Amino acid sequence: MDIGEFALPAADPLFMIDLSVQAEDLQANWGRCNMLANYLAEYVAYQFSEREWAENLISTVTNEFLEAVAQTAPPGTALALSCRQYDGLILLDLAHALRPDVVVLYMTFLSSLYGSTIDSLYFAHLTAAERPTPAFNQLGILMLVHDFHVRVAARLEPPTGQIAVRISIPTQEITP
Amino acid sequence: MKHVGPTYRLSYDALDQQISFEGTLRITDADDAAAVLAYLIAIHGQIQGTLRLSFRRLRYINAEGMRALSQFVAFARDRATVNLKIIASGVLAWSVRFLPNLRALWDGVEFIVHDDGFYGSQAIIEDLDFVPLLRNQTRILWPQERAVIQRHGLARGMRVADICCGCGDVPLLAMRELGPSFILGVDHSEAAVEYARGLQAEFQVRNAEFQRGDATALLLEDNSFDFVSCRLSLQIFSQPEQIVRELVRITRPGGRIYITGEDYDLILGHPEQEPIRATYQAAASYGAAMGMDLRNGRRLSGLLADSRLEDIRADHIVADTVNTEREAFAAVIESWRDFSAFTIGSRLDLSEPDRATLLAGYDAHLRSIRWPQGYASWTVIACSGRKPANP
Repeated sequence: MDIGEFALPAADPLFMIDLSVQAEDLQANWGRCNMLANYLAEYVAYQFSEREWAENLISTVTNEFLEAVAQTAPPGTALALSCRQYDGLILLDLAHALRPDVVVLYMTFLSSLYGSTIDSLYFAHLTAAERPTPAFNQLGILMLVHDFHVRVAARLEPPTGQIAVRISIPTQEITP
Repeated sequence: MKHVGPTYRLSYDALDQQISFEGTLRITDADDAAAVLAYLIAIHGQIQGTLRLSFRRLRYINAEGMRALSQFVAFARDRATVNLKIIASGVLAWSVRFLPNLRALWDGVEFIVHDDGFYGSQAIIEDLDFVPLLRNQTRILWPQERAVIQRHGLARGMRVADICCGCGDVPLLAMRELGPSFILGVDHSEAAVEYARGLQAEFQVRNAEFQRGDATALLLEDNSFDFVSCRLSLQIFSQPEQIVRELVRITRPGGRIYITGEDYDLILGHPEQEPIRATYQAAASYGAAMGMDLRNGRRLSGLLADSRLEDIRADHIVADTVNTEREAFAAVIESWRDFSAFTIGSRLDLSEPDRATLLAGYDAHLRSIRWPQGYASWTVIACSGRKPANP
């Protein structure tokens, strides 16, 4: 089951990094989302002339998705994180198992990012008195789509419960 | 009144009615979020008028942090007793993208980016075209300044920060010739920082880094450098004391803060002193119209004294036609001439007669420099002070 455009650009990436961590480690020590996001961002941003801006943006994007993963991945599973740079595009991929009880809600939510109501959806989550149930950092993901113009694609393999989420960051967001 | 979380600090300054957010506000649990909101509400209850929320030193936020801010805006909107002014930093991507959304929640919210229109001459100073002028200045000043900066405390093995480092040539020269263990150069100009990184690669200098930053809200730890400099930069800011406060904050107790400035009244040229004097007086007044104080050198020791620094030292750094190669000196004056008469002159829409008068003085200065019997000098005032061991 696919949401959004999942094909990779034909050209070889200009740059790539792959990391693997245990979802449980993020869940047990939430601060590790921050650490991992900052590590990845510093490493990736190093090649950009607007390094500080790039680092701030990449860390913010990565952290929000890691916080979502930390709430949707079952304990004892692994998270594969990879970042690739193409001409005009940075792709951040997160592949992990999805908790069975959030599959439908999570996929429905990711589908809603393709609607024309992002603005109202964003403000509804920003101003909500209570967090949604179940919560998987819906607001964080909406912030990125609403304000950083990232595009989110997802591929779910129902038999295994494995999901791959791909976040496309236009390079012009990094070189404003 | 402060609230300190695991990775962030919120502090209230009653003088400015401002809450400053520092560190990383990636809130990880509901109790933490509730504590932040309670702190904001408590401050809200103490004031009238406008409450400023400054995010200039908050490196990151997450969705839970934004949710807490949204809840606070809703609280303020419902009370409608206090307006909010939200201050972002142009060097932090999240702050200029996320924070404007709070304005949509209530018309009592004002949003500004602090370093948009940071100083009057920002557009021209932060342009790549300004770099050759900086390079020319370094070429004639560094040979004189090298000894002065050591007298003011820069020594082998130190951790050094050069704030408003421009194109980075001086920190790289200092790294290579004076042997500190590490130098960090910070500048607000993206073009200058990129140039500095290129120069570092070209010079193959290790243990130096350059980063973009706001000198009035540095994203650097307190007490983290032995020696902190800010050279020939304070003259462009209307409130240099804000920068000096940051220089002092990042200097370790016992470390030294070193600043340099201009004094256009001390620029000499012989034998045509009168047109030269008139031109530099005019240039200083045109600079003032752009928000620059080109006689700020005489105010530097007072700035350091106001910051309660100890052991204040002052020196003149003099580049003249005796200690400096004449053509290198002339290249500096040509850069100044073009910058003043054309770059600033165009901004100020100078009349042709005023521009001609200005150019005549610079040309007289150039003749003084190039004439073997002539004498010319440029004096920069250097001051430093020591941060008290128990500030």
